[in-house]
Amino acid sequence: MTIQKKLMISFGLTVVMIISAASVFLSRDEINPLLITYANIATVNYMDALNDAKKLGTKLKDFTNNPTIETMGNAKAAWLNARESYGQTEAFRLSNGPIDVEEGWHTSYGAPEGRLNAWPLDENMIDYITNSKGRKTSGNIIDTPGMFNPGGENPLLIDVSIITSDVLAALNGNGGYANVATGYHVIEFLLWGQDQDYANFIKDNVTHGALLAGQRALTDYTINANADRRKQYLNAAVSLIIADLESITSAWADGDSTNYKAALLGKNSDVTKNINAKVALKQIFSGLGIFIKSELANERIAIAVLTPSEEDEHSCFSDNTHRDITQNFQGFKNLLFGTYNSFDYGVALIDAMKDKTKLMGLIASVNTKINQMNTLAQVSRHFDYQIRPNDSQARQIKKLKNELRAIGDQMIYVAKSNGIDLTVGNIMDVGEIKL
Amino acid sequence: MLGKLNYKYLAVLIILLLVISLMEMVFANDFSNLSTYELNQSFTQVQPNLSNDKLDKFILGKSFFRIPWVEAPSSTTARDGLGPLFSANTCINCHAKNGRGKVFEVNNIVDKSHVIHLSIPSNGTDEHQGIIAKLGFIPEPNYGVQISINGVPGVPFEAKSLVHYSTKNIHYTDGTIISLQQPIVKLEKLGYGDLLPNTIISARIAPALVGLGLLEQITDEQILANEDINDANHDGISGKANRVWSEQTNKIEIGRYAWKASAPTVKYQSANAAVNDMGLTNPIYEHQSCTLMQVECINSSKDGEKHELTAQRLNAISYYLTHLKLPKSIISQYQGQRLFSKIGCSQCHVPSYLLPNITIYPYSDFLLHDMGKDLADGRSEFDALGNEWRTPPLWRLGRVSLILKDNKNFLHDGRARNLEQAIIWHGGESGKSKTLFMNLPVSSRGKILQFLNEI
Repeated sequence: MTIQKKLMISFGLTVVMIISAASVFLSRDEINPLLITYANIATVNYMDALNDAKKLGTKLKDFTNNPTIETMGNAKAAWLNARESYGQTEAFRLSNGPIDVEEGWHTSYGAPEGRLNAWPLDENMIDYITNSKGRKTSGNIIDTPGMFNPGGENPLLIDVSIITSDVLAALNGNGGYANVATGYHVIEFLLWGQDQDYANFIKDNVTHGALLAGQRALTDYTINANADRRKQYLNAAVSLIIADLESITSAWADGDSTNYKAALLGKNSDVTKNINAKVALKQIFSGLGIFIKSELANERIAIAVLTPSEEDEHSCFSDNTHRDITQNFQGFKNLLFGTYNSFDYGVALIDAMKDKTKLMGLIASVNTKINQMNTLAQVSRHFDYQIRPNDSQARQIKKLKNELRAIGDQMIYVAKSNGIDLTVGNIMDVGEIKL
Repeated sequence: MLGKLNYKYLAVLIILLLVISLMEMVFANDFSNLSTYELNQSFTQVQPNLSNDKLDKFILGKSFFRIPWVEAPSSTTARDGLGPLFSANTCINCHAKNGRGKVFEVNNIVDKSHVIHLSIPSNGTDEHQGIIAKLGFIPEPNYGVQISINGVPGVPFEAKSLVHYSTKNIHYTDGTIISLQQPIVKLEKLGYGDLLPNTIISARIAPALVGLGLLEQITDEQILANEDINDANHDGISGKANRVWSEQTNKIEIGRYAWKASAPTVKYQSANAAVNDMGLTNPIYEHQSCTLMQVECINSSKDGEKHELTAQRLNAISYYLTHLKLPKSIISQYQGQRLFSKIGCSQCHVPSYLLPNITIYPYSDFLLHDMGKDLADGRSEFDALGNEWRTPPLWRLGRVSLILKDNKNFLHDGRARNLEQAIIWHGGESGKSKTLFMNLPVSSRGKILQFLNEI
């Protein structure tokens, strides 16, 4: 048996050596142009997201140093702006990349998606809310000056005397993944507060109107007893966002032969880290399919419309969901067409597709519906009003969702025209959240 | 003498190792054409070709199955109502990747998917008979039907459970020794005083959610056709359907889900899990499971105001569970199947059912059988006695194992760490088949195990 085992091991080693030798050979010769386009868009898009997050950090600092209506407004504007670039980066998710991969060497970037963009959140854990009985709740991170129990399952007590990035990171997901303490939506909640326009969904007497979002009072940051803790929270949360985005931009940075971008392009100095081009493309096509169909169409639009629930709107405090949908779709189009901010980045995923009629038709139709949704959100009613069952727009949004699903299915053909086999199963389901 | 003995054992050991490594190679080959992603998603994919409207219902159910519930009141209006007493805050917590539960979360910490049911023996009074008619058993008066390991703030949890094992070795006729672990379950940190002295404690792990939509299409008649309550054919195997009270239809139905076949439908079982595992009232279970002495629980529940899990959402959850895609079986040889039948396993693990458009192969009769005193938990549920268990479906056991990775737990309380141990635990009516299995040569046993991993 020992001999057999030895033989098996040496055979296995030979195979590994042949494969790695082959990959070195391939990587020297040519880099797949589709991957170059994809990776270069990632580089600039994440850089933009990082810069916008830094601007948000500055505006939050201005606001917390001197809380006025004006500085608060500037901070809100900076948050909305930061979502524009980040929203487009979401198309890089679910593709086994550094933003959310759960295993492999590229987890060294921290896979911070869940920390950056977790939703829905149990905002009750962060700060007071007005509950369905009209009372202000207590027992949250903001109003607890010492040890805080996040609740949920097997929670660890955390010292929240001073709210720092480390404290927030320790709280995030502690006691279950409903316990969100970090990311864009936390800052959104601390700037806007609850948007209580859900009179249609539950009995609720508080309503601000179809064109207003959360109405957090400035006094929360001035005369309120916990004003300083809110300031601490905002600054700590944005620091963590910036740190996480710095990590991701380093994964996609040019001129680093040891990072993820180098591995994706097959030129990492550690050849064992290089990703086979076909595998890389399959992950990209599958990720885009899952993102457009399962995440955007299903999780972000369908559930909000079907429940119907304010909480299932992606940006429910600021009523910015129409922009999330727009920019998520834009991010998908960037990668499909190989463009970013109207600049052409080279060979695109769609180029090899012979008959583009159906896909282009769907995209045109989705564009129209998204434009309509955006216009209405500006002139008459936000997304949460548009999805009310008796609103004429609800039907349009259902159609939008169905068309996005159909676009997701089209990814099978886009992949095929690039020599990649994809099954319906590959684009069907958002991966299980790790428990 | 000693040297000789060691040599013998060594030979057996080497043969066994060879068999195991061969089996591993076979499995590796069969699963190698599936990506890790596909394997991980084994039980979570939607049936293909659902219309947009059906897909809507499916993903709505999926969202309520996966997204955490929070305590009420909150502004998370669609998902509040967790507790006051609960064990988990999502369904997926106990059915990771829709697979089965496990005994331990980490080290010796008991996982929340290992649930403790409580009951007491009936005293024969009208009151008890009335409860049994509706519930199937008498709940422990201070703690109710099931131990909740969590409570919302202000409501003490009921208890934490501990599982220890004593080992017992089983000898094959060929000298192979199998080490079984017999569980000893204890409750500690009891939040509401002592349990009644005669309390029956039954541990159960969450079953895998495999092919539920197809199982629901099997008719009651098809199940009843295999009944042989008094063993009229004298083959040593009886088989009795559980007849259970349904709050859904207000009549007695044939049970086919859960470890003692006490649930007639997927919807019924989902409603039961919602109220007992997460504290979510719903159209089938309208009241929180607070006992009379659990004052904090009573005071913080909102009984009668609304269903925390509304009819629409409960329907969506059961729609989700019944429209999951059944992954393919990967049977590569039929010798194992022939042996499986030959030693009598298929008498209870009935291979197939003819549905209107398809033949399915769940390997179960969905009937109750006496499984012997070693497996008996002493707990009755409707017509199921303390030594009786429902034949669990065996399909896709290999994928169940893949999902479980290092935490392979089989049988109702997860005591078996692999399929072979699960077989060896069989007793009662299944004792004869077990003995025949143990007398098979090692290669035949391997074929049966391989077959079980491939169905």
